[in-house]
Amino acid sequence: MNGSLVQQLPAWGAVAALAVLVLVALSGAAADGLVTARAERRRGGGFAPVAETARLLRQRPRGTVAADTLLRRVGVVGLPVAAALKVAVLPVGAWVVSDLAVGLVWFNTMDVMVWALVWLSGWGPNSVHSLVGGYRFLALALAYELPLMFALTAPAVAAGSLRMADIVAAQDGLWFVVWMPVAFLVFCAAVLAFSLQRPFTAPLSPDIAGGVLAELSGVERLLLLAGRYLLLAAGSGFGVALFLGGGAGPVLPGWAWFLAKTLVLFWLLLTIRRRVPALRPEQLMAPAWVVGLPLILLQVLVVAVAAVAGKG
Amino acid sequence: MGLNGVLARAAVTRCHVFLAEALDGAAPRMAVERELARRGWVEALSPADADILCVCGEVPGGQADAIHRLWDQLPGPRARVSVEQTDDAGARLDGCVAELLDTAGQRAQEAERWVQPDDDDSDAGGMDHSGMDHSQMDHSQMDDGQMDDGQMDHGQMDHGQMDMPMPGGIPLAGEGTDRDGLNLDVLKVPLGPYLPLWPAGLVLHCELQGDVVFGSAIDFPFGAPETGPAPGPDGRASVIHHLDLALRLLRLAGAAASATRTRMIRDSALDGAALDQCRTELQSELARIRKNGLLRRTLRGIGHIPDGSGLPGIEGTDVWDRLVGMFETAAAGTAAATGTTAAAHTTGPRGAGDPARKLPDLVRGQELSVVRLIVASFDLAPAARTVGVTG
Amino acid sequence: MSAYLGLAMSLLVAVAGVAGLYALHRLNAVANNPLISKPFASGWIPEQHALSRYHARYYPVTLIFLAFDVEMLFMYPWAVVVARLGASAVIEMFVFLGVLMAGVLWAWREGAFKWA
Repeated sequence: MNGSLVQQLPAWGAVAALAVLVLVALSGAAADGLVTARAERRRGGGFAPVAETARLLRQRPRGTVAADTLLRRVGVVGLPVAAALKVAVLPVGAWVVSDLAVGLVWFNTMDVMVWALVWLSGWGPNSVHSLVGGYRFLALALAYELPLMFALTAPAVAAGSLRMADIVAAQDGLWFVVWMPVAFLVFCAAVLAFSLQRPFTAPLSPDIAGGVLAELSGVERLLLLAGRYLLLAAGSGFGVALFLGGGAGPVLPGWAWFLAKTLVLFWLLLTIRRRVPALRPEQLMAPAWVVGLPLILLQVLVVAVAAVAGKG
Repeated sequence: MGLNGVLARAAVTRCHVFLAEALDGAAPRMAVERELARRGWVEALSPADADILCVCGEVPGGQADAIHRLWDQLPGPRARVSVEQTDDAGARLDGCVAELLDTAGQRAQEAERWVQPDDDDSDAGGMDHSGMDHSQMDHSQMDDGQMDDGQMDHGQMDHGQMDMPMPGGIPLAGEGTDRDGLNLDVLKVPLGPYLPLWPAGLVLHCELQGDVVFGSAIDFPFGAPETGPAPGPDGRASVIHHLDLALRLLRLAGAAASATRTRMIRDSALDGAALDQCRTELQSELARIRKNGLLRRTLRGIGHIPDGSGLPGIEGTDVWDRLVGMFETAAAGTAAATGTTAAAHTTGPRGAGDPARKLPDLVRGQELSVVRLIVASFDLAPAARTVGVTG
Repeated sequence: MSAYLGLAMSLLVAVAGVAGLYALHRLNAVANNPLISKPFASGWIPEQHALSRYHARYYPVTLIFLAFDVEMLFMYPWAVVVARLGASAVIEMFVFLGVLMAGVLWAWREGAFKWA
């Protein structure tokens, strides 16, 4: 297949994509503030992300003694950048910033980058709490990454392509979520994990004084906190493109359907993460490898058999 | 006012407050926590995150070094406040808002500092320091004899003992042998006294390899708290105390939703709500927690106290049991105040067994997060009071 | 080619956005030069630098992970062609995956996924 399925946007497309990503993430942060306020029986709360941003923009930058400032900065800057690079290959309805032939692998690459970025943010400050947080993330990543990779393979096998637009197009008749439920669930869990949301918050946990966040202040803290929301929003977008038919839907244009589905999945993930307690990495390891991995392999097997049968 | 003024106005709607709880600071801390929740403010988990350093309770002059150091670690704009009475928490925090809004004043303050000063007075911290270096020295000499693998790090490390490269005035990590006999870097990390969600006044001097505590010593450097749950049948105090313990444990376990609900029950008990109503609410919360399979999985089996360990009342329990026990004791407290028989019994007869003494044994070989959960699963207030009394 | 242009633009825009935030921070922070603080240690001066040879107890898991991760190199190209190649490709891949999975189960029995 060729790239005619979607239209590649001109140079300003990247600006628009990033703006939309930030708005979606902001909506999630505001919704989270509202729900938190509701749970604590106070009014308002939707203003929380704005107030937090203002507070951090006003805060003095802070380093620690003999810290690795460069690595710390690479880590915190990298998280929002990785999220932006993910959405670059994401087809929003009929438009995409970059119609990369290996878009799915690109997503996977950015996702693996998060390993390094979170760890660097933890290593940089030269503080025990941050360091423990950084290494905890690596332990989590060892548990979630393989199931995620196989979950990504399933739609690729069904579509016979690694191009995001082809994968969306292949769901013309039937959304992948219908016959790849395991892959979808594993994918959603992994999205929560790489955006450091509960139950995968051990790297930022209060028992290590905020872990990776423990020594961050000012704009660097803001970038890391925003990066989490941006990654979650980007992950939701990919969930829609890979499993929920992308922009497919009646009446409304593709981009509207795509955004609507993304917002719903995004808020759903935000709701889930409010309801579950945090898991320690070592609790996750055995279930992920011994239960999660075989299940997702079976899913890929089913998809592969169906793909071969459908062809033959 | 320009952009900066707007930002300042927006910022103070959501101040982050680092709570440093003094020995007898439980009551003011709870008052401050309630005030923070009412305003939608946030409890900071570390000084880097904080706008306000709030000292809860009275810190005697001789014990204020740590507070000074924490204060030096706040990035600014910053304000510092001390809350000693439960009823002036709100007013004190309002004072901080005015300070934080004073951009010119904050700028002047920040212009005067650049590096956190070293404290060169020979306090307890300094003494630990030299003691530690000693033990490192022994270690490295031993290693020298044993292995000659010419590792780069190794060579540097040994060198370090001789002419001390101390970047930023802090030595490099020393080495130690882990349980499998591997030679690994050891970090000496004190937990407490001023750590969020940590029992007031407790210090656990940990030796960490990676995130595993392989050795620890316990200390109450400031002595023992005077208050804590009243020993008499004061139901309300017991309810508040045990809900406070439970919510700390829940927050450490990452069960934020449960912790928030528990805090609201505690706050309503503080506000003088009818204890019958508290009982209904806390029993329904306990029912919810019992149904939370993931939470149970997180807490089950850790911090298990074997039979015959001299801790009557909590033998054979793990962190999960003790969490449930906190709710049950709180529920018993509500009954006691309404005249029923069940007296507010705390965890075990006082002084008979001291969980604080058992902590180093219980946390040995545990991962840091488990250590925190184990510590939070005990009611150390009565234990700290009997420090020095043999069990 | 233009696909890579789009990626480069995205990178540029994202970095520019971050730089803008840094600039905004510089303009509005109460001081521009970073405060050099000691790391937080419950109110103590840290007794030594935290940066050290860290004991990552999940080390065995990283090795198992590596085996599977290398396998992913084959997985993506395979995903593209499996429908065309037919049943033999499926069988070959899943025999391979089965072997790896047997390794995982063996490691599990040896307690590689448990620590602390």
